[in-house]
Amino acid sequence: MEKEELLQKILHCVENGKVNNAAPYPPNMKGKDGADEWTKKALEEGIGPDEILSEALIKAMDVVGKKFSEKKIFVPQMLISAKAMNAAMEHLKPYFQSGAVKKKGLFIIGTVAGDLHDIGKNLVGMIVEGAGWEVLDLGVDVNSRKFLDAIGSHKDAVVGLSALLTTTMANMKTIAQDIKQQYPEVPLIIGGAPVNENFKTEIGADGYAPDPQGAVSYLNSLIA
Amino acid sequence: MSGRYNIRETADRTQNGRSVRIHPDNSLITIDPGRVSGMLEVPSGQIEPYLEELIVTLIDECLSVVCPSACFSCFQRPEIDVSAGTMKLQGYTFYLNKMVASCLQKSEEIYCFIGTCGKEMENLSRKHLQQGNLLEGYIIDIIGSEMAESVAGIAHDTIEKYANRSGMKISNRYSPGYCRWPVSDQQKLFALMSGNTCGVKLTDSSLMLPIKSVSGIVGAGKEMKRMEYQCSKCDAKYCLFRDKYRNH
Repeated sequence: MEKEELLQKILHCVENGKVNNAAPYPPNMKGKDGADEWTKKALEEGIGPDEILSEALIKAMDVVGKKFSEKKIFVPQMLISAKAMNAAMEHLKPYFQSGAVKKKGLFIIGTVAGDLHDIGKNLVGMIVEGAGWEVLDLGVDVNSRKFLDAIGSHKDAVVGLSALLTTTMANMKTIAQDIKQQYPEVPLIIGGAPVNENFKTEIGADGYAPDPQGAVSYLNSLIA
Repeated sequence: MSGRYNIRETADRTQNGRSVRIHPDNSLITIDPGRVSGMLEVPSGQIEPYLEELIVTLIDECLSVVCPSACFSCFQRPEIDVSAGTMKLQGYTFYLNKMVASCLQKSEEIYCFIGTCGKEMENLSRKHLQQGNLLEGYIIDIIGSEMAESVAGIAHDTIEKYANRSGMKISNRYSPGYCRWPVSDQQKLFALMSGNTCGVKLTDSSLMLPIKSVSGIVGAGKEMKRMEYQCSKCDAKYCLFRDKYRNH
C-alpha cells in the first residue's frame, strides 16, 4: 500500500473514532482495521513516526477539533476519536522517549483548587497531546504552590487553568495572579464552562479557549 | 416509610434535633437516559443508536455497583436575615445569599442533609478511564452526578415525611456551591452534622469525597412550599445545570 494511502487510513480512523478491528464503533466500519492496526502497519512499511504524527494524527485531530468547534460533532465523538488517537500514539511512544520525534513544547494543565472536575481538562489535554505537544497533567484541586513548583521545573512551559464551578473562579483568579507575579513571562491560558474572554482579561491571563481546539490554536500561535 | 428504605434513626446527637441515616435500595435510584444524553450536550435527535445503547448499558453497570446512603439532622430556630442573605444556626453563620435566604425565611426548622453514591462510582469511572475507555468513563461520571441527585432526592422526600409528622411542610433543597452560596460554607454544614456524614469527608478546599455526593439544607415550617426549580430566579448565568435541564 502506498504511503499516502496508509496515512489517509490512519487519519480516517482517528477522525471517525475507529480504534481497532474489534471496536464496534462506528457501525459502518465494523470488522475493519482501526488506528491501532494501520499505525502498526505504517511503521512496518517504514513510514517515519514523525510523519505519522504530523500527516495523520495531528491533521485528524485538527479536523475533529474544528468539527467540534462548529458543533458538527459533540463530546462523545470527540472522546472516541481521542481514544483512536491514543491507540495510534501507543505505537509512537517509544520514538518520543528515544527523542526520534520532537514535541512542540510542554503544556502544564490542571483544574484549579476547589474544583474536582477533570473531564474537560482531560479532553483538552488529550487534544493538545494529539496536536503534538507534551502534556503535564497536575490533576484536580490544584493550588498555586503546585502550579508554581511545576513551572519552576519547566520554565519554558505554557500553563492552562481549568474550572467548571462558578464558585472556583475566584481561586482561578488567585492562582493566575500568583503565577503571573512569579513568572510573568509564562504564557497562561484559561478554559472551562464559567469563564470567558472578559474574565481572562480581568485575571491577567494571556489566552482563553472556549473549547479544546481553541487551546490548540493558542498553543500553536506561540510557536508559529 | 417504604419497605425498600432501610432507615435507622440514631440517638439525638445535637442540641435540638435528631439524626437519621437512610440506606435506600438501589432500585429506588432513578436515572433517566434522556437526561444523561442531555448532559452529553448532543442535540436531541442527533443521538446515535450506539450511544443510546451504551448509556443504558452503563446505567445498569452503575446500578450494580452503587452503594447509596444519606443522612440528615434537624435543627430548630434558624435566624434568617434576607437583606443580609445569611442564616444563623447553632452558632454558625451561613452566607446563603439573598435568593436562598428569601426562599427559607419562613423556616421554623432546618434539615441539613448529605447523600452519597459511595466511592464505588468514582472507582468505576476511574477504571474505565485507566483502560482508555474515555467515553465510558465520561458517561459514568455523568450518571454518577445524576445518581447523587437521585440520592439527595430520596433524602429530601424522607425529610418531607419527617416534617409532615409534626405538621410542617418543606422547601426545596439548596446546596453550597449553587445559587452563589459559597462552597466553603460546607465546612460549617459538616461541623453541624457532628459526624453523621455517611462517611463523606471534606477536602481543605471544601469539596466532598466521595465525589458523587450532595449536601445541603431544607427548610421546614407551616408556611413552607416545595416548588419547581426556577433558574430565572438565580443570577448564576454560567451554572452547569442552567440550560441543560431546561432544554431537555
